[in-house]
Amino acid sequence: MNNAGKYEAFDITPPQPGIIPACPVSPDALIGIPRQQTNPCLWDGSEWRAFVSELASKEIHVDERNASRLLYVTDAGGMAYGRPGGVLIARSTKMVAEVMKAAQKYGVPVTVRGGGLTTEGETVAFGGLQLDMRGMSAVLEIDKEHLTVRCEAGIYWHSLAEALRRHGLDYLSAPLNMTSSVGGTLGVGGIDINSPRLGCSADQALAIKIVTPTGEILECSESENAWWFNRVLLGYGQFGVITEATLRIRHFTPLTMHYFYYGDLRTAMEDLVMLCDEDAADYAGILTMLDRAVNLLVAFDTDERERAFFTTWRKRLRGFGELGFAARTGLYYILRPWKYREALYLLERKRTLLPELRPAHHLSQGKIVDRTVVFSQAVWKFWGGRQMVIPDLATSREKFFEAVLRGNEVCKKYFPHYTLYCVGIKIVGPPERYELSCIPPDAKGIAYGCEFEPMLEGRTYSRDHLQSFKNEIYDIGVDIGTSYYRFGGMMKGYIRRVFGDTLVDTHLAMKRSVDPAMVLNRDVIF
Amino acid sequence: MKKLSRYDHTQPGAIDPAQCNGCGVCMLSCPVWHQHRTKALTYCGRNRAAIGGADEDDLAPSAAACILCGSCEPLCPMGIRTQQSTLALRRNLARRGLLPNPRVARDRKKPERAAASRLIIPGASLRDNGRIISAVLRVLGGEAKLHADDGSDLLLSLEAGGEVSDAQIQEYLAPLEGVPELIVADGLMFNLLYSALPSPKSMLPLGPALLRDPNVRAGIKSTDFYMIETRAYNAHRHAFVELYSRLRRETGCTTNLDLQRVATPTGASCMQHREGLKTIISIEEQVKWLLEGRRPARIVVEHPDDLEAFSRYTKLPVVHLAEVAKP
Repeated sequence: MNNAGKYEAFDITPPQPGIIPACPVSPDALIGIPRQQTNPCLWDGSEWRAFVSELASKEIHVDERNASRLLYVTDAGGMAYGRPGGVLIARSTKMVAEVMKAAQKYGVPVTVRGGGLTTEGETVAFGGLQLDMRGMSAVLEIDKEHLTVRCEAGIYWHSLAEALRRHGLDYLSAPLNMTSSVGGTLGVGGIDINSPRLGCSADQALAIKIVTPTGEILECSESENAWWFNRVLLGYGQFGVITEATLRIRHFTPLTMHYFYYGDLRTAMEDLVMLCDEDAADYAGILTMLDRAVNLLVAFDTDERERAFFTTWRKRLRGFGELGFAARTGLYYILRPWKYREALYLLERKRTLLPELRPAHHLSQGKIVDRTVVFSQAVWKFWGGRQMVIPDLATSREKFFEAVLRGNEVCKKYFPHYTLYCVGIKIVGPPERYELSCIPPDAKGIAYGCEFEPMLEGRTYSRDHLQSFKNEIYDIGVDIGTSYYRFGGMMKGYIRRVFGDTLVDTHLAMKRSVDPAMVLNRDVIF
Repeated sequence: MKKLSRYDHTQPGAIDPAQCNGCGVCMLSCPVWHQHRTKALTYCGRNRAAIGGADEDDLAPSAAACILCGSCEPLCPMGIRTQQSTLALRRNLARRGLLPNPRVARDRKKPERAAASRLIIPGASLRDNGRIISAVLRVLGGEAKLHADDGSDLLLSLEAGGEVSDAQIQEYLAPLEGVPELIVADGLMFNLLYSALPSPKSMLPLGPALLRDPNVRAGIKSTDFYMIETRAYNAHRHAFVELYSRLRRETGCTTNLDLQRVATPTGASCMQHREGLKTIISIEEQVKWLLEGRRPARIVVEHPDDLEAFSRYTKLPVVHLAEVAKP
C-alpha cells in the first residue's frame, strides 16, 4: 500500500544543521517559536547486545534488570520520562573509558548522570546506557597547605563537605542543593550565592580528569590539554565525562547572615547590583515571595567584612529589617483589603519558612554553620515536588532589570504563587569556557541570573501549561538577547535562537569531531 | 527536652510512593549508600523503583540490606516514616518467604508486673554485660531496676519482618503500664514502646537518661569521641538534637552526628550482624569513616554493641557512657 499521498502535506525531510523547520503538525502550536524536535526519539537499540557482550568480556557488567532501570526514568524536573536499556554504576576512570570505546564502536548512546538534578530531561536516558557516576565518590587527596582537594566526580557536594569538615575545611562554591554532584555541576557551571565574588562552581576547578567520547583518558587544566579543560567545563556533557576533579577549597568558617526586605523588586535588584559591583558582601542574592516580599540576603565569612558592610554599605540599602517591613506590608494590605488572600499567603509563608532558615541546631553563637544543609533542606521542603519547573534568564548587568521584571509578569500570569531567585556570577575564566553556556556573551565583569520558580503546591498543571510558561520566559531571552542556565534537553529548541547558527554549528562541528558516533549525552544540546 | 513525636510501628502499609518526591536527600546520611554508592540499595532507591513500577519482589535485596539505623528518616522533606516503611516492606516480603526469617519465641512466659519506679529495659546486648549493667544501675540510682523481660525476641522478629501479633505486643506491654519511668537501651525497642504504649510516659533512651546526671556529663572530655545510639536518636532527632548540641558545646567532645545532625551508626546493632546473617555493611569501614580526620583519645558509647565494634577495630580505649561518671 502506498502511503506517500497520506503524508504529502508534511515535510519530513531531515533538517540540515542550522535550519529550523516549522512544526509540521501545528505551526502555531508555540506562537513565535519555530518548533524543532525537542523530545529525543527513542534509540532503536541496534547493536545493544554486542555492546553489552563486549563490556562483559572486560568484566564490566551492565545491569539490565527492570528494577534497576526503573530508578532512572526521570530527573528532578519530573517532566521527561525515558528508560535506559541498562545501567552501569561507574567505579573507575578506566571503566568509563572502556564504556566510551565500546559505545563509539557500536553507536550506543551513553547518558551520564550524577545527582540527576536536571529539570529538562538532560540526564534521562531514552534507551542506551545510563552511566551513574556516583559510584565514583571518593575523596582522593586533601592538600591542607595549598587548599585543594582531589575527588572523584560522582561525589555529592554534601559528601565532599562532610569529608572536608573533618579537617576544618570547606568547598568554595556549590549549588544550594546537597544532592548535586561535583562532575555534573562542573559540566554546567554551578551557581552559589557567593558567585558574585568567586564565579561559578566550575571556575573553582584547577584540574580535571576526563574520558573523551572516544574513550581517551586525559588530565586537563589551564596548562595541560587546555582546550579540553575549557570545553568540558560548562560543556553540558558534550565533550567528555569528568571522572576526577581538583578544586580550590578554604578553611571552614560559620557565616553571619542578614536579611533586608523590600516591597519593590526593582529597588532590591538595584541594591543587589550595587553590592555585587562593589564587592560589599561575601554572599548576596535575592529570594522573593511573589514580588511583594523581596528578600535581599547578604552574608559574611568574617566579622571584619560584616563590620565593613555595616559601616559603608548598609546605609545605602533601601531595604527594611523584619519589623519595619512587616509594618509597611501590613499597611499596604490594610489599604487593599481585596488582596487579603495574598496577605495570608505571605504570612503563612513567613511563619513556616523563616524558622527553617534559622534552625537552632545549625546555629553557633548567632552564626550559621552548614549553610548548604540549611538551604537545601528548605529548598526541598518548600520548593521541592515531583515536578519542578524552573526556567531562568541569564543576562548582562544592563538587561538584568528588564529580564526579571518581564519574567515576573509572566509568573503572575501563570501561577498564583512563585519565587524569584536572583544572583550575580563573576566572570573569571577565559571566554571560550563560557561559549554556549549560561554566561551571556555580552556580560562584562559580572553576569546576572534569575530563576523563575512557580510554587506548584500539589496542584495538577498540564504539560502544556508548564511548557507554555517556560516558553514565555525563554521568549523574553530571545527578545532581549540573554542566555539561559537550563537550555538543554526539552528546551534545546532555543539554543539556535539565542546563540545563533554560527556558534552552534561551530560547536556541532567540534562535537562531531570528538564524538564521531554522537553517543555521549546525545539529544541534550544537539 | 521537646515533645517526642508518636512513632507508630504497628501501622500497616508499605512504602508510600505517592509521598516521595525523589529528592534523594535521604541517601546522604545512609551508611549503605556511603559504602556502596548504589542507589538501588537505599530507601530512596526502593521508593523510586516502586514509583517506576517495580514489583515488591525486586526490592527484597534492598530491604534486606538496610540496617534500620534510621539515618534517612529525619531528612525526608515529606516526613515519610522510612524506618516504619522498611519494616512494613520486610513484613510483606518475609510473609512470602523472600527474606530470611529468624526464630521467634512463640511460647513466651507470662511476664510479671514490674514493680519499680524506674525500670530499665536493657535489650540483649546490655543484659549480657554485667560490668556495664552495674555501672548503669550505679548512675541511675537505687530505685532503678532491670526488667526481666526485655522483649529481645519480639524485637528481633519485628526487625526481620516476622509476624508479631497484637496480642503478643499487648501481653508484653501490660506489665509496663503504670511504671512511672522507662529507660530503654535499644533504640528500636524505644521506638516501638513509644508508639505502642497507650499513654506517653516518662520514657528515655539510655543515653539521654544517663546524661541527666551531672557526674556523667562531667566525665566527658574534649578529647572524647561520643557515639550516640542511632535508632532512637534518628527517629526522634528533633527531640534530642539540642541535648547533644549542648553536650558538644559544654564538653568540646566530637560526636557521630554528621553535618545534617544525623547520627551515623557503626552497624553493630543491626539484626544481620547480631544474627550472623549476610550483610553488606562492613562495621570496620563504618568505624574507619566515623574516625576519619578525627583524633580522639577515647571513645564513649551509649550502646554496648558499639563498644564491641570500636574495641575490635581501633586501639583506642572504649568505655560505656555509664562508666565515665565522676564520683
